[in-house]
Amino acid sequence: MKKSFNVNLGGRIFQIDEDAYEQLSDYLVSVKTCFRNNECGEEIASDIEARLGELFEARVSAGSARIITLTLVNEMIARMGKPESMVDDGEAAGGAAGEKGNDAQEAAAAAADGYVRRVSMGKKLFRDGDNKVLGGVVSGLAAYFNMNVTLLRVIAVLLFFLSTFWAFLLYLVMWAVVPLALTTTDKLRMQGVEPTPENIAEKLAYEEPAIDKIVRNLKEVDNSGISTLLVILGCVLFISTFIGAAGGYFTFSLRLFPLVLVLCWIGTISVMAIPVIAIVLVLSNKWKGLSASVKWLLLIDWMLAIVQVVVLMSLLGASHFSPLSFM
Amino acid sequence: MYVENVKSQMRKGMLEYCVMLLLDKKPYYSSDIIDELERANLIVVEGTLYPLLSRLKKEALLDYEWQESPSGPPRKYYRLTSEGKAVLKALEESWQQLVGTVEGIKRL
Repeated sequence: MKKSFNVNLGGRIFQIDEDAYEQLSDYLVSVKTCFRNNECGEEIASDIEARLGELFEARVSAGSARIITLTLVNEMIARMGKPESMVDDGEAAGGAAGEKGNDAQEAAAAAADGYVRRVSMGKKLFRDGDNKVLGGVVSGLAAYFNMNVTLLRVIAVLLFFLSTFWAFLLYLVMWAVVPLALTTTDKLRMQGVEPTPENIAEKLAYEEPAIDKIVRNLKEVDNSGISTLLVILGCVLFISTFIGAAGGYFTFSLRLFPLVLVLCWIGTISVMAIPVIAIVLVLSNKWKGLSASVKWLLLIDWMLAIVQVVVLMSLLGASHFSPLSFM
Repeated sequence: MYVENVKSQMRKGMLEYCVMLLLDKKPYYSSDIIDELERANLIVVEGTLYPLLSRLKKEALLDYEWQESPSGPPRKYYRLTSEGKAVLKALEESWQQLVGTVEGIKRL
């Protein structure tokens, strides 16, 4: 279900979905902004609006309701082109002397430089929800430091293992503390692009309008992702307890299996980390956003972890081996 | 990529001349100009036409008048002014020159 409005587009009346309306109005604003230095800018913008009206007219069927959808808007925007690419470079080269000419030249040069010119100040660290594996922390960092995401992910995974639990904890803290890039403005600032109207419109128009995604992200704290993770953790803890118990029963030496050591770490880390995560979530006001099942899963995982640690430690013999000694 | 770039430069250079050529024949509605240019593969995104028309109008090379349309709002019909026709003539010459130059180089 979508809200829809009536709009007058260059003298034609249409019904338009809310998301389509926002997209279209962003586009028209960016067209106007782009031609602000042109004395006939208003006229150009209204010509373009009229043309869009004509194109929509040809596409919405006469019989049924004349509804403009987001898909249709995007199609037509692609057909009209980016406002930057419309700026006429003849303007700079020919005629128009003095300041006007300089302005136009600058505008054309800026359009030619594209993003490079517009990348400036105010880069901000966000979590990149569009490009995430877990929380989007690493992809956000990659955007911030202008690094290759995959490379950074490999480094992150290596750190996870090499630092035992430090990197993991750091990751969780960042997940909780660093904000998720929700709005288009956030996403632009994440990449260090200034959130001007034309950049916003361009981002919306050419990088796949993510309105559905934004809505989904608003409901976030990504409960389903976290629950999946917690269920997996719970399974690992539960199964490893059994492996440990079986090992105790058959009295084979668990210490010979490196996997068991890793499982011990996971248990021990969980015992310590789950309360820390909970506290961090409460402090960062995200606890309320968690679903009841996630909260239960956290509790269950914590108890499973305690059981696992107790079982494995007692079986391995705390005097011979303590997982803590490996940290 | 490079080829596309050069092609688009060439198209850009010709676009203005072609628009004036079209308008020399009869008054045109902007959407009809777009249709013609698209058929000739001269324009990639439609939006480029409007700033161009506006600039030619500012230079007083063309003019438009409003005409009722059988369906929808009234339309602007563009046509060349006498000044525009004079400029077109000059462009005509330089175009012939260009063609001559290119052909000459090819024949070398």
